Amino acid sequence: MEGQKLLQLHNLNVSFWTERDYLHAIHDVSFDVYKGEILGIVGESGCGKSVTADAILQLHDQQTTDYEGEINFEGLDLLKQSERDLRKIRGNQISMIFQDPMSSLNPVFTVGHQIIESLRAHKKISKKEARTRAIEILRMVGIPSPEIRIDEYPHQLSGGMRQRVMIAIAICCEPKLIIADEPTTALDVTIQSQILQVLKELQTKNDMSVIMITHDLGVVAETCQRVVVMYLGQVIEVGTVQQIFDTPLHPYTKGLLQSMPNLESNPNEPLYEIEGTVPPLNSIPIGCRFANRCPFATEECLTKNPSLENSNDSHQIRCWNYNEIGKKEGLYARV
Amino acid sequence: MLKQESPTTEISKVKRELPIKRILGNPLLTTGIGFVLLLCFVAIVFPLTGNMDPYAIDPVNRLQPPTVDYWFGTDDFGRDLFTRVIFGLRYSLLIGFVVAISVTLISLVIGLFSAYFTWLDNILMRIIDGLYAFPSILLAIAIVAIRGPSIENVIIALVIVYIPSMTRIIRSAALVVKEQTYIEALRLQGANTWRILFIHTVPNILSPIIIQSTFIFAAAILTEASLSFLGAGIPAPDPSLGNILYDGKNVIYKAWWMTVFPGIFVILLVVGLNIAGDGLRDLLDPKAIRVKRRKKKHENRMKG
Amino acid sequence: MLNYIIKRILALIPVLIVVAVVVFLLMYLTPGDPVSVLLGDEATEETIAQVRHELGYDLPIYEQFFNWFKGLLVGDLGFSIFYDLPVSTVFFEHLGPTVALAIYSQLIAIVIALTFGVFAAKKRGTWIDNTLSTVSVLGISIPSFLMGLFLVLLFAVQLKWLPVAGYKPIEDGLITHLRYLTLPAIALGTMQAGLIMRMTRSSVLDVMKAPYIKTAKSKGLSENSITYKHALKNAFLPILTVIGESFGALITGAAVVETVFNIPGLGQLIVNSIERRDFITIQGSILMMTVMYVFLNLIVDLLYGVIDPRVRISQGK
Repeated sequence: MEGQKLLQLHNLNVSFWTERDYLHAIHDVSFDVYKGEILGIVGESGCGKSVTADAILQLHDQQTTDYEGEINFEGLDLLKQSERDLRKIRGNQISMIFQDPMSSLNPVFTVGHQIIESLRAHKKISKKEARTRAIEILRMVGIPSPEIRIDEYPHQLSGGMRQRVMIAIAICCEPKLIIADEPTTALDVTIQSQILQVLKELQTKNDMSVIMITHDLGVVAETCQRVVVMYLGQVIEVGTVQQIFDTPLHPYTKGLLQSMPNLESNPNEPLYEIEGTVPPLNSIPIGCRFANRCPFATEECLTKNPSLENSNDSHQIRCWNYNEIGKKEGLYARV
Repeated sequence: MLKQESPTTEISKVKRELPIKRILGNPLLTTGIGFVLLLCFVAIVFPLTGNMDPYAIDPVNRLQPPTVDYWFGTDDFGRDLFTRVIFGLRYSLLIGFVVAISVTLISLVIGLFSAYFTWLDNILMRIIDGLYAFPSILLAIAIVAIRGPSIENVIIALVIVYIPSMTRIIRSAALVVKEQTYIEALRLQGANTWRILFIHTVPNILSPIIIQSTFIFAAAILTEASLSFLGAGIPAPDPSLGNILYDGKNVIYKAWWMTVFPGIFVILLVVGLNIAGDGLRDLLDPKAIRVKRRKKKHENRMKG
Repeated sequence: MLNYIIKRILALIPVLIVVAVVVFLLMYLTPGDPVSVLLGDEATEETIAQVRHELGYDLPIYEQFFNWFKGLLVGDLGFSIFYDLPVSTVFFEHLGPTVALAIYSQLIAIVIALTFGVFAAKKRGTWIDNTLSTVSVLGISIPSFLMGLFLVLLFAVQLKWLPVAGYKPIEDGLITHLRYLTLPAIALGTMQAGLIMRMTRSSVLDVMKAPYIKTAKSKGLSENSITYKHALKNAFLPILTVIGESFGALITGAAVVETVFNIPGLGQLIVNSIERRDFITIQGSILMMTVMYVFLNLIVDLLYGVIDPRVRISQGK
């Protein structure tokens, strides 16, 4: 897929100090985000997708976090920017939406205040103008009677409306990139699709890029053009949404797809599960991180960690044996 | 295809910690308890050496500064201040301990029954709230003033003063436990009330009780000292840390030792208890904030 | 909001009634016969019986209570034999210095505690935080009278900067007034500051972990805005609770600190009444002080409603 690159992550490593350990949360993460696209980052809980997202804006506690690598955005390496310069980018050129809007909105300030605050932090705009603009934005995200809602508090709104407010705050300064960290996970299914719809419309209208982080492959299928798959802190596969869904190369990706129940599967057969569990971050295996659960693992897999390679122009894969595996039907035999 | 256990990197391993290790590893708890035990030791063992009489008067040596014979000096009656302070410490420890235990036991009964029987709750909690409305020392003064100053009345007064705070804590904790489904299951099985309360509820509310009783121990000591300082506590000539401070106030310019030494012991005892209470809270409260290790300053380049 | 206020006021009534009952019981249970004490050793049985009847002491207990309570409602707290004045008069004469002391010390305490509490939270885990935390533990472990005694020793004997005894009312000039109140206010304020600082630190730390703080950071807001606007407003509720609870320690401490620094306030009134066995004054003063304390807590409750919109909207129903 050609197009201009907006954001490039190159060999990003993020490590944390906790009470007892020093954890390498993500390792050698590299991928690009193009202008005007919706990129999905998918993986189980704990695979590092949120860490990656937070790392872009460096939202982690400075005192206990180490960053390594490069994050290029419009010619700047974000990891080398001072805190002051980062603040000019946050909420302004790159914004974030978080999972649970009830706890992600400040309960003691009105909805309008939280939007206006963002506007006035980044633009020279009077209070009156900011208020008008805030009402406009609330309307844009589909909130009815915005002139009344603007003075309400988060707890007075429903879950779906709160998430729309979060989106409103995120787009109010017309950012080039929005990072949405599980924006629909905490919402009812019917509301979910409404919110995704809002995001897609805004994305086209404002020509923004979106990074959509989720563990739900259904969300990916509905909204994303390209997908990054992560496992235990590493990127293991990157491709277009067709490539990932139709011709997945990594055994983990295949396993994920196979575990999704679909309308054609036999209701009497047990759901497929990937064997084993994800190892904890403080005992990461040597060699391929997925090897201990992979039915196709070889000797090499157990001792050497594969690097991310191009299988073709747009499809990348981190696996020693993907060619051989790919020659089989593509899916595991049923257990 | 091979699916063996892969060797793991030694990035770090999580150790399973034994409870004793957790207790000893908590510096607050050990320091606090250490202080308190040390003071207990001093209060119990020193008088056993035999020749410490807190009432013995030596009029010739009144108001002497600390010397080799009188380590902490003497008071206005010529009594050895060191002896009096040690005996005062005993009283403080005794009172604190008795009050803490009594309050806990009585509050347990009131709090648990209040939590489980709503009709009782309405009556009892009104009374408890009313008592709680009094500033502690005023109520204690009133009770001691009526009944007359003596160590028993001080204890009774302090127990009455501190029951409300402990009762409320026990009641809230018990209410939370009551709503758990396992209690409902027990009721459906026909378990009788005493069983539910004492065998199932109490073990689950122990943490706040232990923490609060430590703080009540400390508060009782402080309030007794204040009461004695005001003349509404342990009566003279009995040595209470508060009494000594009261005697010392009138001669404060001439005899600083009568203020400094008992004062230091009060502070040490209460600090020890407070720190131990904090340590207990860290240990027992799942929501306690743990401090993360910080990286070295020179690695932190993001200043600005 | 109005609903919320009304509800809170109504909730006070049972508490005040219980307080009145407790105080009455304390008076009733005082050993010794107040009438004999009043009349002295030489009174005859007849006189005693007659006076007892006149003063209503021979009525059943609940009638005595009602009469006393009715008197309370019109401000009659009884009569002090020692002062030869109504207790209410004596009380209000002594009220001023105590209130001045309380306000002064609470202000000092709140300012210091909030400033350093937030600072300690920001510098969590460093030596600054550890030092401040140690200082606050010390603060809550030193009873105010002891702090007062130490200050007297320090300032009377060594540094002669501030007066160590006495009280000058505000009419004598603000500076003089404050000079005389400074040491007592510090003595009182130390424990307050310790209590409030500890809660400030832990409340701010708790709040800083909340997701909306991450959101605020992702909006590009400055650190000051995040700490002092977003975090502190949310952290303030538990801090306010502690401030309210600390009023109890304030009153407790004031009584004692006044005796150290010779301030003619309520504390001295109570202490002297104990020595003189002037029970009526003691009970009346304790009742009044408790009622004031209860209303202070009401104000704290109302402030909750002001700060947290969730409280006033949901609890006003």
